[in-house]
Amino acid sequence: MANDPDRRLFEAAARGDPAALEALWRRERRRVAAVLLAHRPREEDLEDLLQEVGIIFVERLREVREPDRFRAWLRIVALNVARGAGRRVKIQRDRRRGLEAAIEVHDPTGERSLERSEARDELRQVIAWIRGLSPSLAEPLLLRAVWGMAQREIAEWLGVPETTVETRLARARRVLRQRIEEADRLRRAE
Amino acid sequence: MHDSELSREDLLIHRAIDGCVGVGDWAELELLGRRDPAVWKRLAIAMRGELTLRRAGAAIDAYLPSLPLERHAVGRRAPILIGGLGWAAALVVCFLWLGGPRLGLGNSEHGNPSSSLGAAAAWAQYLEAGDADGRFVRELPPVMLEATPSADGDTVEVLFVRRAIERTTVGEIFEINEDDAGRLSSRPVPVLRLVSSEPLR
Repeated sequence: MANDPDRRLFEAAARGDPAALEALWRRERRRVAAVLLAHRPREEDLEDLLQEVGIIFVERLREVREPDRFRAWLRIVALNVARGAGRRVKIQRDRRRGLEAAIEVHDPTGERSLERSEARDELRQVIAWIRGLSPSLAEPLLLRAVWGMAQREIAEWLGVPETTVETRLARARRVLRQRIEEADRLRRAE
Repeated sequence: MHDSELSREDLLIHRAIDGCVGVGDWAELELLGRRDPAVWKRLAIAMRGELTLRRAGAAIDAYLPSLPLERHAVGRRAPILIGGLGWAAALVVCFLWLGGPRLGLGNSEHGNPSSSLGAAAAWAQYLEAGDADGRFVRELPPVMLEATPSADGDTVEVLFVRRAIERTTVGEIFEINEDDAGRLSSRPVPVLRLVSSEPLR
């Protein structure tokens, strides 16, 4: 959080300014979502966990003394929420509230019918891929490939060297490629 | 998971689809492709996967805005009750998660910046909203958990639990069980009338 506008936004949010809180949350939520998607246990819904991080974000942001430590703090909060979810009682919930709802509702093509169902299938496929990756590979892949974050930014977010991010991305993409190849082989065999 | 060493080809394919490939990298990739044309097929497959990932971003983004911050500030969930009140409390959690509407203010998804409220005012607003839509039955006296005097002795920090009886309608009630291996499972409970064995006072 090197530049002044970022610092001002953080400071306003930390004072409890609702507009600043909202703006800061909107800016950071993709990072949080990437952590949760990469680390969450399968039974948990992304929405529930995002809400949990959001509660802590609102209630405890003022405890973060250094703006430069904000993202590191937020990532630890998200990690703890994701890991804590694994220890909680798991109950099958109304799936309409979860990410599956996004699959059903979102229509990237703007059209119904076949194209729409293909988009749904693609998103389902991506979620299955992400769940099959280790969190250390899934998180940078989501940030880079899904949301276009720069490798340098990802390195700062993860607290690792940029070369490590590149290696993890290359590994993640290799795993995905191998999965696609395997799926293609199975389709051809049918 | 594939933990084997990353090959030069893996790295070059990654750079090619990531857009960070250098002139030397392309030359190296072309050389690899001349030796083994299957390299191009692997590159094409990797690009296919990448395209799918990028499309997913739009879908996930479309989902993220449905998480109003206001609701985070007010709409606490109830899992913390599980430890203290046993299965009856777990059933309450089932209500909330399985069938009931989410805790929170009715129209908070569209504005209503309740995050600007103090906690006490937000709680009062929550109860008022619950009262209006019939969800809130009555509030019970808070239960103190811990009281710690401050260093200067002027104040005392008190940790306490707020308690509110709420009403909701659900399709089914589930009982949560844990087997010897620690695996959790839930099963529907047939209900004529069920009353908690630990009535709230």
